[in-house]
Amino acid sequence: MEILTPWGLAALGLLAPLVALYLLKRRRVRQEVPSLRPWRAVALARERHAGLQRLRSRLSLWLHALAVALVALALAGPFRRSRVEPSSRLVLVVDTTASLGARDPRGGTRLDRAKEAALAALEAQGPRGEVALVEAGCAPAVRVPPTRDRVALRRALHALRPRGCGGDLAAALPVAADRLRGASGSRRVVVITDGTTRAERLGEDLPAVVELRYVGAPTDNVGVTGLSLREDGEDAGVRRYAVFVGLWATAPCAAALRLEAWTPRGTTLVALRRARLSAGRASFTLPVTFPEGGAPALLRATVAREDGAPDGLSEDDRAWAPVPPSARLPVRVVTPRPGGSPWVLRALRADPGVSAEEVQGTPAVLQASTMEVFNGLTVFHGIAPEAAVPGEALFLGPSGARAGGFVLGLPVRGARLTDASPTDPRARFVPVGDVHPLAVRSVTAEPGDVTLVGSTAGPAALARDTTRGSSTLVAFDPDRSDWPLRASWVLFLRNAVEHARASLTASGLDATRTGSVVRMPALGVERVTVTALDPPGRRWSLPVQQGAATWVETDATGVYRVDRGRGEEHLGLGLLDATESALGRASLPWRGAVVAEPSRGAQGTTELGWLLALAALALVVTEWLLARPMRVRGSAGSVPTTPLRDGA
Amino acid sequence: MEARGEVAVTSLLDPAFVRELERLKVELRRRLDGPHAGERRGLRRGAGVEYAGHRPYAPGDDLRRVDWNAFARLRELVFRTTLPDTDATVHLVLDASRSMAFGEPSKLRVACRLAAAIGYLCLTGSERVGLHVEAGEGSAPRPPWRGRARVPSLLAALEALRPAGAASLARAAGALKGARGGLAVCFTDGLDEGAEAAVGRLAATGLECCLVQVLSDEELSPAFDGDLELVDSESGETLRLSVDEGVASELHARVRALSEALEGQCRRRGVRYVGAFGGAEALSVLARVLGA
Repeated sequence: MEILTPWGLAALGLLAPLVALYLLKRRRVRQEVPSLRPWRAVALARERHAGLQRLRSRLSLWLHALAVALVALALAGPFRRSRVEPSSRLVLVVDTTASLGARDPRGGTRLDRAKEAALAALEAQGPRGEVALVEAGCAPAVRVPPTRDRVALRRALHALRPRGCGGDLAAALPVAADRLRGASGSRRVVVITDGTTRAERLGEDLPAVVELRYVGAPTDNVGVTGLSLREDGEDAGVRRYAVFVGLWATAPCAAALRLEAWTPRGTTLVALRRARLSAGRASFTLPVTFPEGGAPALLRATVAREDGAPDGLSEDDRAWAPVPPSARLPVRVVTPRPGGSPWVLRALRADPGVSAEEVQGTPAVLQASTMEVFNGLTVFHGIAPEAAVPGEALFLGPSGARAGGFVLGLPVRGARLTDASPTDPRARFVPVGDVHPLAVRSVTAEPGDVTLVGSTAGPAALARDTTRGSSTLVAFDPDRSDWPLRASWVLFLRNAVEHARASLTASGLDATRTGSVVRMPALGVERVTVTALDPPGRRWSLPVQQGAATWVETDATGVYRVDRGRGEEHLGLGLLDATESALGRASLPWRGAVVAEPSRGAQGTTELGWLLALAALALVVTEWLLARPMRVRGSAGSVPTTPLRDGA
Repeated sequence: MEARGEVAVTSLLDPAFVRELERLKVELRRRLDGPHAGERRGLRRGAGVEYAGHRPYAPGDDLRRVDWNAFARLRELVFRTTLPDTDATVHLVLDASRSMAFGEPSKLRVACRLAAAIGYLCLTGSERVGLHVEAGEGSAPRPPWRGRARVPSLLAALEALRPAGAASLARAAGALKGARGGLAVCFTDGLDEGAEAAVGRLAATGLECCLVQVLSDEELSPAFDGDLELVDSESGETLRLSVDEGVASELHARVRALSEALEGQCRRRGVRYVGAFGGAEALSVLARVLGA
């Protein structure tokens, strides 16, 4: 116990006058007796027990003194440090990424420990504080807005389950900070995580006082972190594939990698590799041919330890890849007139993974390009619709004032290209110092636009990524420059194709990683249904908007059946996240965050003064009951005694 | 309700009590006038004090009345006869100090009632009755009453008594010095410091003495407890004491011990002791006083 105002103890000085008053003016009732003679004899005999008698007779003094001491202590403001959170609003951020499903040495999963820590923080917050719950899974989600309803909070906590995906824990902090707005008093964010997660994208300043509570202990684990499939030629009419598999092991171990052809009817082993893995990443390339009957829907890769040791996380032991791999990327080149873009077509057709065709840019074509999603890359050369184009689009030297949502200005003759973005993949390996455009049109960049190539007249190439797709604008006509003569021209177009391929892969059925948003082109249907097969149970009915359905709840690994009017299609989602598979304990790179033990809440205080005051009051009442004015049952002249009887 | 210590005349000798006294008187006279007269000490104890003559001793005579001087001269047993002492005086000594005000009825009232009864028996007989009141400042001596007609005077004097002051039985006993023959009956609570000494003074008067100790229940068992400041009713002295059940029982024993000590002192001095405690019957006490 500690005291807040030590000067309150000065009230203990009241004990001195209390004792003095008690001794000097001890209250006694006068009682007249016929003679003191027998009483003196009694008093003399009682002197032998004077000590005990004095103690008894001074019970009131003891009680009063104790009451004064308690009051003095109460005035001193005693308090006990407790686990009551002093903050008036607390936002609990609970990490539910895949690693939280890892086995915990104490039993259960890491998420069970996280729930315990969250419940402890919830209990410590006290009944008056508001608490919000934010789940940091594949994407942050507010499960319970700020409330004092502890039942709802506990119910939401118990409902949390480990997701089958990775996530960015830092993305949950702005969400949590938003829930702190408008709160009076202190505000606090408690992040409960195992540290095995991505958390890089956090600004310099934390949005609030952030406490990190790590749960879980490092656990041995082996997982599949990469899987891809490529055609690798044919042998006697049988298509051959090269399968790339990435593995992660937290410690050296013996493991077996199985590749199986997955069909709705069952699986068939197509490759097996036993290997001694060292800690860290490992990669294998295995040739695979599928048995007669054609290619299966999916290829499943499974890794298992063979040394008998338990595996920390089962979610990353399987991964799926579509078979056959994606077809060649369709690219359509929209030009004002046929044959109007030979340099573009020549560069595109140099890529065997591209199927390029030229389309005349009639008004109908331009209008349709703004309404429907083309499942490929559309290159507008010299002509473009004014409105934004859904899907992947590349605008080369548009002539109008607006092109695909971009606003262009007047051409600047003699403008010189200065540099290319070193980080954006679309400008990778694109040296532009030797490119001389005839004129560069100024472009009004919007927030979020990425300048791929700069010039003395402003951005010469801009990229704009939206939820509907990504658009790239080149603000000068390549045909009116020497760029097609440079190697960077081909590399630029190749980058654009690869970017489109990556975007389409991420938004199509080729997606193999949980947590990614799957955009499924679907024409002629209003809804797309997705049904979980392995494990079974969940089902989604997704509306089709602008030619595509978007599936965002890809938070569980497994195989799903997709019905989008093209017959039965299958999609496999695996974790494929080395960050989640590394089940060590990482220290999140958050400056200013307070790392707290999971078993301890932030210490608050419990006022004890009122308890002491009550105790003092109880003592006073007790003293009053025990030492109230002495009970006198009678006195001379009024005592009912037996009269001397007159008769016999 | 009566004030403390006040005595109502009618309550002292009501008709029923008088009838009981008359019966007691007959009983006493029957015993004294019988063949064993002189063997008992009684109300007419004064008979035989005054010399009447001699006669030869007869078997059955009281050896104490043999004239041994005559036997020395004559070598014969000669019995000394006396005249009945019909005008012996009964001295009623009342402690009317403030301590007698306690009890319900008060000890003074009990004492007055007993004194009135004795006085009635004497005045209606042939004895004289003297009243001596000890109430701190002493009282003027008054001549004894004689005859039935003086009963109202006695009662009036008794009813006028009020408890006051501190008693000194020794002083009262001193007032009896010089009295010739008779009986002295002293009513007191006997709790004052000089009670034992007063017994010696009484015995020294040469009278046949009887001490009646009147105590109330309150003195034997106090009806109060707690932290008290006890005040002596006569001296005003105080004593601080925490009274509880243990103290009460101890007080009872102490009062009993004082009573027994007083009784022992009376026995040693030839003074008859009669205890009249709260529950005692008046006639029983009276009979013991009169030696019936």
